[in-house]
Amino acid sequence: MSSNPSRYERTRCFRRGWVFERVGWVAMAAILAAAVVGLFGDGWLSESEAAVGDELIVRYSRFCRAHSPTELTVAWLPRGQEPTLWIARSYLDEFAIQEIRPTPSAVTLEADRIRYAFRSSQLGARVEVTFRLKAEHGGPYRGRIGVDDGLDVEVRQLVFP
Amino acid sequence: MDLVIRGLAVYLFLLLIFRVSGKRSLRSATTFDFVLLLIIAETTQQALVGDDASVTGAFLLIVVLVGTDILLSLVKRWLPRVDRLLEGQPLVILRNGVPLRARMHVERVDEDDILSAAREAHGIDRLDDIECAVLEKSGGISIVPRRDVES
Repeated sequence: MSSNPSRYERTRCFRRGWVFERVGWVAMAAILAAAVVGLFGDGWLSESEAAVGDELIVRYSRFCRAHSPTELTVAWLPRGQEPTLWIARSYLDEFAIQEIRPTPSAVTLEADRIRYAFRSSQLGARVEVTFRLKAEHGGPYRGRIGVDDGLDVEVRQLVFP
Repeated sequence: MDLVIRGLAVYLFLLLIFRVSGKRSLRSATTFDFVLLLIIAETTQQALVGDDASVTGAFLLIVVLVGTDILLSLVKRWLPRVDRLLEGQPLVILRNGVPLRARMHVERVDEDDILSAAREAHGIDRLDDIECAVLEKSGGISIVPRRDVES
């Protein structure tokens, strides 16, 4: 019997390959677990809320993916019959707005923000507006969102490419 | 989360559909089978990806599909019953030159299929020269020639 094993019997080489495979399996399991809890968006870990007491609540995904839709919901107690909210332009520069529910009655462009106005028939009733957004690029983003010339909050998102 | 569920659902649905369609469904790939496969792939792709065009989403889906495949292969090794349920098992469809027609009928295999496999693998063109033909889990037919023919 030859002392030099053929290349098909070099178990050390195969063993390295097997270890590499197993490490890969564990990594895949970890990625899946992270995805299930929402590290890459759509999950418990991703759900985030920025609020000023009970008067203004902004719900959004802390983690989301570029070119994939994500929702941002603003709920607040309006002061007048024409509730308005604004979003910083620097934030909206990074996102494409696909849909606003309900549709605003007016959109006003200001120097550093975009203001959306809505019509409400119920004075003092909570208003909830949902933006369906799509990030254009990956990266960390910050933006300010406010309502009725008073309250505002900052949202922070990490967008995966 | 949504992507993981979608990936799992599509994987399990395809597994079920191809199990139900039988071993031979796409084994003998005719032109139409090939077109059918392409249509299935395209439809599946739309269902999987939806309106998510991110690289991360694509990577996640690949991990879901490959990960599920690895997990299922481990489960099948630990639980042979699951393996039999999902993959079926090899079935003898001809013994000592005699076709077992009831089995062949159920599996939608005919003598031409057996002879075709025999010609390709061993250059045999008569059923009498085959000791045993087995429909494998993969849908292929393996041929054991009679000993005197083999020599």
